[in-house]
Amino acid sequence: MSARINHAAITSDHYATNARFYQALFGMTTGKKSLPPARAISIGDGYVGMTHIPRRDGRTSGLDHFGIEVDDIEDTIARMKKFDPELDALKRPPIRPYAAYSAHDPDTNIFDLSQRNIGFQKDVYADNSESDRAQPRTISHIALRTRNAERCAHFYAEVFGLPLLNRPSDGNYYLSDGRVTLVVIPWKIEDYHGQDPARTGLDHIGFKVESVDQVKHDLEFLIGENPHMRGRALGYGSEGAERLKLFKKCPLGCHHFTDIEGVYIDVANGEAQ
Amino acid sequence: MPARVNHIAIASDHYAINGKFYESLFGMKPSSKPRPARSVVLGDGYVGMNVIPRREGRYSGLDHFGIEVDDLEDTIARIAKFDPSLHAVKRPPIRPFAAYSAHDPDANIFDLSGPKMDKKDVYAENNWTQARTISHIALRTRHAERCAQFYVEVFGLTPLNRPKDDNYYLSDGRMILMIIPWKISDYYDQDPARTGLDHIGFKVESVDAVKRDMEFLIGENPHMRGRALGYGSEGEARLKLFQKCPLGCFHLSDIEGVHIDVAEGDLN
Repeated sequence: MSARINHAAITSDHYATNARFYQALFGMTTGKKSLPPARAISIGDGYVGMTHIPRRDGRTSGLDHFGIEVDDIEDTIARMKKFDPELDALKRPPIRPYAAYSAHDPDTNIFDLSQRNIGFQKDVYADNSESDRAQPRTISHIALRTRNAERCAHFYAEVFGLPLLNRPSDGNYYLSDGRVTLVVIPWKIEDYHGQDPARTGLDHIGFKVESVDQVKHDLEFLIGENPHMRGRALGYGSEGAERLKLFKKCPLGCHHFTDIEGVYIDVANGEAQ
Repeated sequence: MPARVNHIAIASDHYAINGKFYESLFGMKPSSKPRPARSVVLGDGYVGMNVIPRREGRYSGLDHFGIEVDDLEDTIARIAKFDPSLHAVKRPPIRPFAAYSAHDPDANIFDLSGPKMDKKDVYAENNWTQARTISHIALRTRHAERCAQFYVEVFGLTPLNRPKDDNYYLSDGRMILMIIPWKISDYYDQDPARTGLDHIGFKVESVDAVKRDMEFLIGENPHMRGRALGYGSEGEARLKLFQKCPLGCFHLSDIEGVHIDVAEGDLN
């Protein structure tokens, strides 16, 4: 039972530009056989695939869900049911490049489930499972802010066998698949004094990079080349300062910015674990 | 303890034009004291709508709703009595509506406002009548029954005696807070949507007039076109789920993509 946290999905009105942002700044690449151009754009870092979804009517934009690849989906669903019989999974239409099922944790955070090596995966997800290509900038962590963080951490540990990392106690739970860390942060409305409370759910993604300074240089260069590559302003005004302060509490990143969509990204040198 | 469900907030990159959409199509009135760099604040004489510029790290779309109460301290005590793990946070005084923000047992966020506080913007002026008004706010959440109990016990909202369809309809006498059970099994053939606010509904004098007005508006200003509903198999599945709400008979979206349904007459 070796689960891999290897999928993140962002919904956006600017999905095409946003995918370009990750390609340009982090060197993520598209698959050899991409899905039809009217659908989502999937790019990968050799391990994690990131799907940029055109936002549909009635849906919110931003970090939408993540995904876990397992050896045996049926066994995983049985383990979910054993953890809590009220938890459910839903089979997905076959056109999806990654998800065979969608499911949710005890706090209703949605994740996709995929199974490797059965010829199901498409696009960049097929390439990622074939190659494990190495590149200098890769996704290191996905942060989830949720109300019952302890129970959700137990869920991911027990159902997916993700070990809890032994980090200094800061109230968060750090679960690793050996490469990517799932950070489960307790959501408390008291954390939002001085800013609008954010709903529970995915909070940010983090990258491990060869040089944070180089990322800063590259970002400046990209914005000069293409003004659409500028993310959102962080830390402005009293409310912006509060939002940034809360974001910076994640100890896995040391430089903070957003993508075009406004999704929080933090980066750090070297291994996130 | 007559609570009023009278605030809704939408976060959007297109917040200014989205405000214009509600002004144009539903006749909502903007604040007489606008603060141009902040949210667009509109009202229908009862419900105030804040269209908020989406900030970094935040989601767009329907963001939260708000309830006005007679006694804030008593309400916070009732929340804590219902479930001691539920909390409220005091808000900065610049907010036109919210004195506190709080959450229900499923962590759905709502603002709390007291009637005697120094309200601002349209919330200080919201006392006129107009033909098109917000009739309901729909919340899709996993523990719908418990959340419905929460809003009944804490706010004294009245459960309406409607034909049984698994939803909970809670009324403040004018507005309905509709609580729909979220089930992942409802999302076959479409991407599962997260829990939270689902859509808003308007009571109008004539659905046909709304349709005509919408066509006219798009002709006048192409930016007034909302998102296409019902296209493709996934769009069809989304629309079918949306259409299960029995309080609306015509379905559209605003510029941001927020689902809106409209119907004629009083829903209470």
